[in-house]
Amino acid sequence: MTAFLQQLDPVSLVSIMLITATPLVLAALGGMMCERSGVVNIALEGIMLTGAFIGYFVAFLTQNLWLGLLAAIVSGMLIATLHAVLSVSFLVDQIVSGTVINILAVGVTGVFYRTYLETATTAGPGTLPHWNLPLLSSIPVLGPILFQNQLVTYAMLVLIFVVHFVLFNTVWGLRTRACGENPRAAETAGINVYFVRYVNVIASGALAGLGGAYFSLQQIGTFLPNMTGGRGFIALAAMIFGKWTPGGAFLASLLFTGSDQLGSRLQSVFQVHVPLQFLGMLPYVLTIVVVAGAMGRAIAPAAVGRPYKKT
Amino acid sequence: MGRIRFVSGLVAAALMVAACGGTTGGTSSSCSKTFKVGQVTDIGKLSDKSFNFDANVGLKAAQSDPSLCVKGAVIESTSEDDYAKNIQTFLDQKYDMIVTVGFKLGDATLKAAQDNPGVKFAIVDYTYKTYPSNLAGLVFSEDQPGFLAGALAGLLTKTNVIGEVAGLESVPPVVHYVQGFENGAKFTNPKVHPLHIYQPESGAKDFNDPDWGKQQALTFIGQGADIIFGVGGNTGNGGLIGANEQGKMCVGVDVDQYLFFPELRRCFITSAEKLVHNGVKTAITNLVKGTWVSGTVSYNLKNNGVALGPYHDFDSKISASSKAKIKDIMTKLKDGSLSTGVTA
Repeated sequence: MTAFLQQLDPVSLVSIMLITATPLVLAALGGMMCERSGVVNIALEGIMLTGAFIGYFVAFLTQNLWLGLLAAIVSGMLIATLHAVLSVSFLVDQIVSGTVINILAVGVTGVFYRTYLETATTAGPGTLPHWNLPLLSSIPVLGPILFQNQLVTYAMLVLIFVVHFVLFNTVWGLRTRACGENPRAAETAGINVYFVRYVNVIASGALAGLGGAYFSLQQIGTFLPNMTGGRGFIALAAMIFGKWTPGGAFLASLLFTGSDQLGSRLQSVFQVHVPLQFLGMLPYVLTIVVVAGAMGRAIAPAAVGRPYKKT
Repeated sequence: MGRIRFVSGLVAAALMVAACGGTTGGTSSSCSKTFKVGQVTDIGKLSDKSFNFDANVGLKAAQSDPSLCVKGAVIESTSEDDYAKNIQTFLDQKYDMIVTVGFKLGDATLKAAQDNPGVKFAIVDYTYKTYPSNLAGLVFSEDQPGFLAGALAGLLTKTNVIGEVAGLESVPPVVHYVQGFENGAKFTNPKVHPLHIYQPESGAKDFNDPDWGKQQALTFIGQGADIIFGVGGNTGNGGLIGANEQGKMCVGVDVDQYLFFPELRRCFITSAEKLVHNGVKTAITNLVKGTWVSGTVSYNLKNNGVALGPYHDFDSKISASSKAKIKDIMTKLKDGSLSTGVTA
C-alpha cells in the first residue's frame, strides 16, 4: 500500500492536475463571460495562441516577463475586439468569425515565429517565478498543491471567484445574462446590448490571453508553433460541462486533466500494458459518460449564437 | 454583401499565411546540368530542430558543394493531407529528386515513386518490403546512440531512476531510441530503474505538446528520476524543460540539442544524435554521380550515420574512467562485439 501511494504520489498528481487545468479554466471563464452575454466564442484557441506568442515576443524583446504578461492580455483583448466587431456589429455568424480567428492565429504566429524567433540565439527571459506564499505554503498537502505556484495559476484560482461574483452578484452580471437570454427584452429595459456584448467579448479575450501566457511565459519559457494544442476547444467543453458556471468549469477542467494524468501514470509509473490509444481517449470517454448520464441537461443561454440586430 | 466579402477576404488571407512555405535558392554557374532536389517535411516542419531540420542541413550542404550542381527547395507540410499534394508540386516542376522526411510520408512517397519512375525518391526513417528502383529508404540505427547515451546516464545517475519522455510508440525510431537508452543504462548500471512514457496519439498534438511533456518529466522526477531523456520533438523538449527547471540532468535527441536550447544548457549531459544530414547528402551525391542506390540504406556508427553528442558543460564533471567506458562501448558497438539488444 505504501509502495502504491509512493508510486501514485497523490500530492504531485493533484498539483499537476491543477497546473495543467490553468489554461482550460481561464479560457472557459472567458468563454463563459462571452456566452452569458449571447456571443459564442470558439476563437478561444486562437486567442490563447496569440497571447502565448505576443506575450513571449514582448518578453523576449524587452527581457521583461511582466511586460510580456501584460502584452499577452492586451493582445487577447485586441483579437477579441475583432471577434466583437465581426459578430456583434457586422452580425457575422459567430462560428464563422471564431473560425477565421483560429486559422489566422495559427498562420500569423507561425510566420512571425519563423521570421523573428526561430533562429534567435540569445536566451529567452525564462519563466515566471514560483511564489511560495508565506506560512500557507508550509501547510501539509494543501501547501504544495495550492500555495507554491506561479502567477498565472494563482490568477486562475482568484479569477474563478471574481467571474462568479461578477456574473451572479453584480448589476453588470444581471445585464450580461439578460443580453444572453433575451436581448430584445434587455434593450427594452434600457440596456445597451451591443455595449454589454462588446465588453464581455473583450473580457473573454483578456482571460484567454492570460491563458496563452501560461504556455509561453509560465510553463515553457519559449514560444513554439501551435503550442496550445487545441486546449481552447477542451475549455469550451469544460464550460458546457460546468453548465456555464465558474465553479463547474473548474471541476470539469480538473476532471479532464485528472483523467489525463491518471492515464499517463498508468503507463509511465505503474507500467500497465493497455493500448496507448485507450489511455489517450480516456478523458473524452469520461466526458461522454458524465455528460450523457451523471450530469443532467446543460442548458445554454437562450440567445447564444444569434446575432442581435438593434431595432 | 460587403460584410461577407470582408470575412471571406479574411479567411483567404488567413489560409494564405497558414500555407506559406520556405525555399532555399542558389545555383552554381559552372554546371552543365543542375539537379533540382525538393524536400517535403512532415508536420514537424523545419522548426522541429530535429530530423526535418537536419535533412535540410544535408540538402543545403549538397547545394553549397560546387562539385554537385544541386538546387534545393523545401515545402513544409502543415497537415497530414498535404503530403501527396506537396510531393506533386515538386513533380509538376520537374524535379530530379524528392527527399521526404518521416514515417508519416511512407505511403505517399511509395505511390509517387511508383507513378514517376523517372524521378528519384529518398525517404528518411522509413523502410518498405519491396522497393521500386528509384526509391531509397534511409534508416538510422537510433538504438546505438540511444544505448551510448543510456550507458552514460547509468553511470551518472545518483538515484538510479531515469525517465524517458517519448513521442508516438507507432513511430519505430522513437522506440529504438527508448529501448536502446534503457538497455544501455542497464548495461553500465544493473540497479537502474528506467521509466518511460509514450505520448498517446492525438493528431495535432503528436510530437508537439511541450506542456504535456514537461508534466511527464515532473512526474518522473517525483518518482526520483534525476536524468530525463526527451525523445519526441517538442513533446520531448518539454521533458527537457521540466528536467532543467527542477535542476536535473537531461539528454537531447537527433541533433546536438545543446546548441539549439541556450536556456537549457546546464542540464545537457549529451545528445543521442543521428546524422540525417550525412544520409541525405550521400543520397543526393549518389544521384549526381550516377551511383544511385535503391532499397534500404542503413546508417550506423560504422558509416558515420549516428553518433553520441559532445558532453559540453558536463565534460569536466564526467570522470575519465566513465569516458573510457563509453569509448569502449562505442568501439564494441562499431565492431559488432556488443549488441544493443534492440531488434529493429
